[in-house]
Amino acid sequence: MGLAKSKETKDFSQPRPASFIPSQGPAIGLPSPLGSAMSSQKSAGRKKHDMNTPLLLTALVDAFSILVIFLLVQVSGAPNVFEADDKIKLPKAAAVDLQPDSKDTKVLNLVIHRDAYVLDGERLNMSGLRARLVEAGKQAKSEQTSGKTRLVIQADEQNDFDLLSPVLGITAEAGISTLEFAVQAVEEGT
Amino acid sequence: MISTGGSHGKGKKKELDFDLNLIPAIDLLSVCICFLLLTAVWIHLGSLKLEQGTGETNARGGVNPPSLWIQVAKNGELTLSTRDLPASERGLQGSVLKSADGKVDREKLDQALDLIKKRMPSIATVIVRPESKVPYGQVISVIDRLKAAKVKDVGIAPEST
Repeated sequence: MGLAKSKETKDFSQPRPASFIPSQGPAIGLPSPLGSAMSSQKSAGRKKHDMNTPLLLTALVDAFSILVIFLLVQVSGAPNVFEADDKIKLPKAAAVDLQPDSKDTKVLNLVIHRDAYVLDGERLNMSGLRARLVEAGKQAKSEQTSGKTRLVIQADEQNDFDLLSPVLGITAEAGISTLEFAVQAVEEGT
Repeated sequence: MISTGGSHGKGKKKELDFDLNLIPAIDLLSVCICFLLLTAVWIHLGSLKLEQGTGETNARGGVNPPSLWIQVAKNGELTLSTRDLPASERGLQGSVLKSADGKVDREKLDQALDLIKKRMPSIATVIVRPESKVPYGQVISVIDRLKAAKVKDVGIAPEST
């Protein structure tokens, strides 16, 4: 009992299609039934348009390559300095500083909501915020990094300024001299 | 494409006329595009840096530099006044830049800053003084225009309540 060998052989003497043709299937494969059916309709009546239009894959590859290059350039551009809070709509500004500071600076991230202050992920009230910022200021002084502590402030553009003004007083008291207001960077004139 | 032009001499030679299979290339590029579309950063974030005086710096004392104070009202009106100018320069006292739509008029502010730069070149410090109910976005808008005008020192001073 032997295994029957497949008699299927390919005729390499015939020219192979340059690219995908519906009636012949992909460049390496069997003819597609749909394509064959469409081709056979020619004989049925009046002359129809030729459906065997080759699909030019080279142009598709070119377009894809351009897309990939564009997206790679987009990705390798300036990274965001910080993570934005989803619940906040940051104000827009053009004259922004996109480059992060040197790594030896200590960064505190403060998000101002209407009802609370969130410092580095911790929800605080005003007195808690004061305590934390003063502590951070003292710690920075003891670590000889005084003046390099910076506070990144994120607030909604519709918030009243009186939510922010106490923070300015506290930071001055805590000895944090560099404030950064987070904004959405836009082109000049938009 | 390279072709041998048929068989020569003894035996059938291997066909060299072949097509480059582009399907894997398209698959690879599609995966790349999907990945890059998902990971791309569409909203660029930045920051406006301000240096503020702390307790220690205030204690140093000294002469105040010539400065421009911009008061921001809730209706978008800006009031400009100068302080500590040298005697040779004529300052501003309460010049108002009105707003038509309740927002800060950025064009008017740009023009005013250009004019101030030309007439009062000694001013390198600008203090923004917003009222308590001013939207935060309006304050940022003023600071943005000051940064765009290359003002060296921009400060912010909340109104004392």
